[in-house]
Amino acid sequence: MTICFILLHLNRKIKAIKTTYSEEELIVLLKEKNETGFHYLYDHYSGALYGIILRIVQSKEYTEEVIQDVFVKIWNSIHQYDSSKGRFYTWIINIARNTAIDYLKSKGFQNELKNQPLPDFVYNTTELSTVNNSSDYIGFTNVLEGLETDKQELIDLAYYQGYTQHEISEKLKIPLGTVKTKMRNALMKLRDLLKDYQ
Amino acid sequence: MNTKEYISSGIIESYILGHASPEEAGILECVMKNNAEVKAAFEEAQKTLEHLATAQAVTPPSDLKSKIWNKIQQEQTVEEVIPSVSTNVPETKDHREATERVIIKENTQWKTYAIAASVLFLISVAGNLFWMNSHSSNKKEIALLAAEKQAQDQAMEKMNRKIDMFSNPDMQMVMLKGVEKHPDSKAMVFWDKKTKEVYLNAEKLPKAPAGMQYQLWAIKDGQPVSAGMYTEDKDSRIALANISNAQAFAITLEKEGGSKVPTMENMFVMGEI
Repeated sequence: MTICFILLHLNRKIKAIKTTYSEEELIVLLKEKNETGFHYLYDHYSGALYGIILRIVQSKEYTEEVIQDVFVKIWNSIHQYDSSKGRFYTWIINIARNTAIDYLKSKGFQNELKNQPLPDFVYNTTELSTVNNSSDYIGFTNVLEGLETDKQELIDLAYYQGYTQHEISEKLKIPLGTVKTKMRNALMKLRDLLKDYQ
Repeated sequence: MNTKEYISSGIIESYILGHASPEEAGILECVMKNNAEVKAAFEEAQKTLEHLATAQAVTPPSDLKSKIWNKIQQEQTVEEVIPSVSTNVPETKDHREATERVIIKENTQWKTYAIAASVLFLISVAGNLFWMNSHSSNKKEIALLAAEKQAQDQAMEKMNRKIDMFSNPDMQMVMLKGVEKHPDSKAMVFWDKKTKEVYLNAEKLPKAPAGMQYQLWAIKDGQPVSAGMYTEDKDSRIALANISNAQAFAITLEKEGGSKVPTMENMFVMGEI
């Protein structure tokens, strides 16, 4: 009994000292509501989540609001994470995407955005300086611009603008089945492209 | 649809983007458990979007981390503090209004509880009815299962008897093949060399018509000798006769009770030793 307690205690200490964790270890820390877990989560994923949210809500001010909610959600609902349904990183990315898209909807921006042409920065980083609020986008790495325009548009609609596949099918006037296969092709191309960034 | 077609249909990407219907999602989750190829494609697609997120990361403002940690801690303390505060409020003039509001709230709460209680009662009544119903259907099911088991036990017993016969080293087996008129019929004679008892397995013969019965014949020196009447009950179990010497066996269909001499045109199967 005492030995177990000491071992457990030691184990915790070791965990706290360690600087790299596997996804499984991080999940355990988060479930224990361990502050180290929060630091690790933030240090490793905040940039990625911030980048996603910024691309969706397109304002630093809104992004800061949304990302706070995202981290609170991760912290509070870590027990709902089911590894059989997907990877942890993907899970938190989807929380960020959904929270940001819902935020836009609640602010009534969604329709506004959907009726507008796609923002230029999605396609062309060199024109960023001429876009309004351009300072918000400085320093963006836009991997998507390495893709053909139709593939960029598809990923942007589905991933950053929260279009359902039906909506994409209507907007681009292509059959639903084609949307699905095109999406797959776009992501395969993206995968090849991303190999250069690793 | 084969695995490759399933993967290239784009369902995995739909699922990751949160676009799959609950049905599609359920199917994919099930397929992934059993199909390594689909599972691998799923991991791969997730990693692609994860790499995209990593590659497109934007450094957040430096004060964001502490803001978020404070918010998380605040939410936690709020959750812990709220219940204890309401019990410790001292009643003063300023608080009277608030207390009245609380009482009104309690009143409506009481009603809510009453409604909840009646709903629960109804659910419990419905549940009991359902239980009683399912209880009677359970009984039927159990009776059905018991009958099924009995039939299975009997079949098993039969099988064991046959195995015993096959494994008895004294048992000579004689295969009786269908004659020209009955090419599909066959039967097996088990002849115990020690006890001279003859058993018959004739389940492959067509069912004997009413008033008729199969009769087994031992052919000794060209002469047919009756080797007993066959009934399904005796099959592979009860000896039909004691035969000390024979060169062949044959089965004919005879009137119930048997005949003295075989009716040759009603011969079904025959086999030499």
